[in-house]
Amino acid sequence: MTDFSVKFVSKKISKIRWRPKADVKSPPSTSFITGSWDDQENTISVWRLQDRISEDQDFGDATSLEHEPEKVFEMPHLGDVLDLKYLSSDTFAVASSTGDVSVLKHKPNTQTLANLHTWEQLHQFKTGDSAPCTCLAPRGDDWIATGGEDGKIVIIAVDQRQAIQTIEKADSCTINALTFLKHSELLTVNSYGQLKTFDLRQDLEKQAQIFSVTENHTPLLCLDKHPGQAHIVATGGEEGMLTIWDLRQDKFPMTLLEAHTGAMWEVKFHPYNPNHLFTCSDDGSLWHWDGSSFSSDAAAVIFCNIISLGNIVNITTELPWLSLETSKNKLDIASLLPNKSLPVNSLDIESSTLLCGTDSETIYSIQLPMLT
Amino acid sequence: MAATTGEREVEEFLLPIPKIKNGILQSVLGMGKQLHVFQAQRPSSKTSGARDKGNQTIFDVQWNAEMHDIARKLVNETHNIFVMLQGQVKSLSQPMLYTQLRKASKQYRSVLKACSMELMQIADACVDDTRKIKYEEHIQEFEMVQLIWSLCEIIFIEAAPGGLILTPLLDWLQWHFQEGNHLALEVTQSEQPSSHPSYWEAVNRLLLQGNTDSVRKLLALHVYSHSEPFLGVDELLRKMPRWTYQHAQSAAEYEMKWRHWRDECIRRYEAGEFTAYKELETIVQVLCGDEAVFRELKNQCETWYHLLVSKLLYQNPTVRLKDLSFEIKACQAVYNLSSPQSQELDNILQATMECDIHQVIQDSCNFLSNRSWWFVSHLADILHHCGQLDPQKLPFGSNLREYLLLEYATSLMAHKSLWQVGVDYLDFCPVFGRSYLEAYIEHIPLETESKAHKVLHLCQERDLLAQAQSVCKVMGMKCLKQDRLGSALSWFLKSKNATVIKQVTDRFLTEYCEKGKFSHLDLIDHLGPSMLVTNSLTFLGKYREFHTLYDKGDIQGATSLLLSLISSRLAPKTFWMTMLMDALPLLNLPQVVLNVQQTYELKHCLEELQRDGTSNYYKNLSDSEMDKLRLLQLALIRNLSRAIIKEGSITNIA
Repeated sequence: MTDFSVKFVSKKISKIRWRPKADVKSPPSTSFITGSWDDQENTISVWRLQDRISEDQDFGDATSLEHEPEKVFEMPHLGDVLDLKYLSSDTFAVASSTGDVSVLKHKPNTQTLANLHTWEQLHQFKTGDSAPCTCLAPRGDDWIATGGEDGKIVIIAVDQRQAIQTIEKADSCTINALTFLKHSELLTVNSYGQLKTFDLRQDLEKQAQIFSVTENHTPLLCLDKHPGQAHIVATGGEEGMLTIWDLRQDKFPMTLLEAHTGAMWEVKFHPYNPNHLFTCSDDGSLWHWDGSSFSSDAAAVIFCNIISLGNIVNITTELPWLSLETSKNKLDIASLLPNKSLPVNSLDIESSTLLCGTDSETIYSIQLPMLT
Repeated sequence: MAATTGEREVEEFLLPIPKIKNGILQSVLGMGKQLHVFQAQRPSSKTSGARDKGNQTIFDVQWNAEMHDIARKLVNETHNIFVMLQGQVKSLSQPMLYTQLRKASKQYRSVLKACSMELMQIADACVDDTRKIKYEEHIQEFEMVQLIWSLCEIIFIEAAPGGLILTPLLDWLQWHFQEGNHLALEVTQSEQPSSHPSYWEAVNRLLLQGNTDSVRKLLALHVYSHSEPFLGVDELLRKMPRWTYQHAQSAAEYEMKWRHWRDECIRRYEAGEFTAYKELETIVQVLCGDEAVFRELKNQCETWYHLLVSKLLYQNPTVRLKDLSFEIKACQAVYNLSSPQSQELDNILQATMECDIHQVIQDSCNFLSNRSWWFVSHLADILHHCGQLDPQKLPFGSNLREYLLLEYATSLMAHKSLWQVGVDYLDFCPVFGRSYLEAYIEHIPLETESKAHKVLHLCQERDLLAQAQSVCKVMGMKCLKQDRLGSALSWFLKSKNATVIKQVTDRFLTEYCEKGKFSHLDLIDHLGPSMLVTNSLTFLGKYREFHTLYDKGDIQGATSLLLSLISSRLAPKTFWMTMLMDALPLLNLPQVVLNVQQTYELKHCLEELQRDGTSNYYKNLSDSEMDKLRLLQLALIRNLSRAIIKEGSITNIA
């Protein structure tokens, strides 16, 4: 049995993020944040994962779960929380459906949050209506790039009230996710199924490159870059397709993998174990893609069968994570949630604990001991 | 503006609508429990088209849409149980299904219990008095639902027909009436238990619930516990025969043992063994099933149903389900008329004991559903699958289970955030579920693209093609209004709706005519096979391709493409002139690129345009444009002559 716990939180979770460790040597983080969407009053909450031993005084037969998250702080948020990204171990940025972007800080020695600054209506349509800000990408702890349904990219610095740079016509459609590839190179995905790169040093109205995944323009919704090799990027699409890109190649730069049956809302490489990839979807599933049997020293890798709940799907592909063209090994895919329910909107992993937030108003925390 | 009222305490809520002449109040149903109320002009026969667009206010009236956090937890957690159970209903057959139904009923109750406990914690921690009262109301409601549900489970789900019913009823008492245990705990923890003021009350309460073990423990704490009378009571309690689930004893055998035991109780009581202690006498009187003593102890039973079960325990422990109802009236008579609220609860419990399942559901609907349809819908679902509900159709077409599930789903759809759960419930309403869903889906507000993607996926999963189209159209039109042609196109492409796509491509072309260049090149240059979705897109893509070819210097390719675009007549008439003008530089090239046939083609096009009065092209031309037109005509004639000469000379050589 996969060791997991479920917590019903009475809010639909749109984003969930581990709070990063203060420095590399500190013990694994036990704190995370969530944002809600589609509610009368949306909130941002701070949680602590309790390692409780099952003991409860009042009810002898009711054993409390281990690793149960406990809410330690909650604050209202205007609009749906569409993205959350940490800038450092104590500051993070929030993207709102009202077009606002805020930077919040964990107050030292308390559980509470303080709002450092809100950039109001950073994203607007030509008509002046506010445009939802859909995604954020931090660069270091001071710069944030934001993308929105208005197709603009705005670059802000945490300590400046005015935006540093705005790429007005970055995209004709909605930008769904973005990330910094290098110091001044941005990568975006949009609702037209395109992946674009922008070089901030060059003429901003000119995109460096446009790649399309499929010919039917299925929107790309999320992306994550390989933590070690910046030219490898994974993206997820509206029809549940996972795409692995090799940005060094101009022709046929991607590997397409059929995955979920609903939109893929988030894709994430394990930060220290990039042979492992995680995806979650609108169809209510959360998958673990284990490419470790592909790694150069295949004999040394012991395949850990981490699931007993989901079915293991074996597929053979030529280029998962790119370096494996001649390999005959298989990519192991495991489904991590016990039953399919409402959409899984967000996931995050740090060391061996995977978190995900869903529209069933639940937070799952799943232990993957093989990844410690 | 929103107003919330309950059905029970009828509140009047006045909408501040100014009275206008000839005005009538109209309303449109929104999502679930929602009405949009507005004032409209009385439709007059003369001017049907004219509308007064004055100071219009639309009132958004909602009722019973509020839901506290714990109720949401209940909704979401039981949603999973419900969906899983429906899957099992499809795949399993009896008796496996029956096991699962019983399990599901217990799961529902355990979620209820957990929620109610969490509410108690919240209420305890709450400092604000008004909110605390609200929480306590919720707790009371949860407790009542649990009380009814567990009794229904005993009587409708668990009970074997003709089987003994008392043991589960005792469990039910012990589960829901905890006062005896609390008092016993208090007593045992005090320094001198037997002189604690509640000592005997605790003993009696436990005794009335048949909890003989605890009674014996309490009695053993008494200072005189070693005296004869105490030992005698202890012995009687110890010997009391118990019907258990496990022991394979027949009911007759049990009844014989029990009669034997009671005879002993009566004999020893009449022998005056316990007269030394009034309290012990009471205990033995209870054991003997003495009618009068139960009336004395009525306050320790609290309610008629407790009294009923206690009396049955000591008077008729082998009572069968069907005999239960004979005792009800007598027990109710012991208590005075109670408050209206407990009256309702009493009615429901009475109907349950009388096995009148439809009365139970009807009363529960009236009494509890004003806050939430959760209870009746889930209970009815289980009872339906157990075969307990009349499968007959109600007058309006579906059965009771579906009727209640539809009500519950409607209340979820009315909530801002729980519509996804509501959709899953509608999926399991075979008769009306789909048409409800179709109606609701179109009312879900689409604030962001990601929400639209979710709603779209929901439609696609259920083959709701018309609704999927409508989502794409709504999103696209919204984009179009905000002048976001790219996003509009991306939405319209999903629905492959030619009419709306043409609206976007026409805007692209208009923009080109005005500015002389295309925006949105990232889309137009990457149309790919989508180009074939509609004629207007094909034209747009190909026309852009013509420019690319021309810019690259591929004159031949550009020319033939332009000609095929012109002769295909795919473009809107307003754009023909632009294309003809595009031909102008090609006509003026030093070499002849358009042959006679092609030149005639262009001339035809121009003439068709000139003949066509509707386009009004000529009437609004500026001077410079007229100049251009003359240039074009000149160029065409010149090219024609050059082409004739060229073609003629080639023939000669050949």
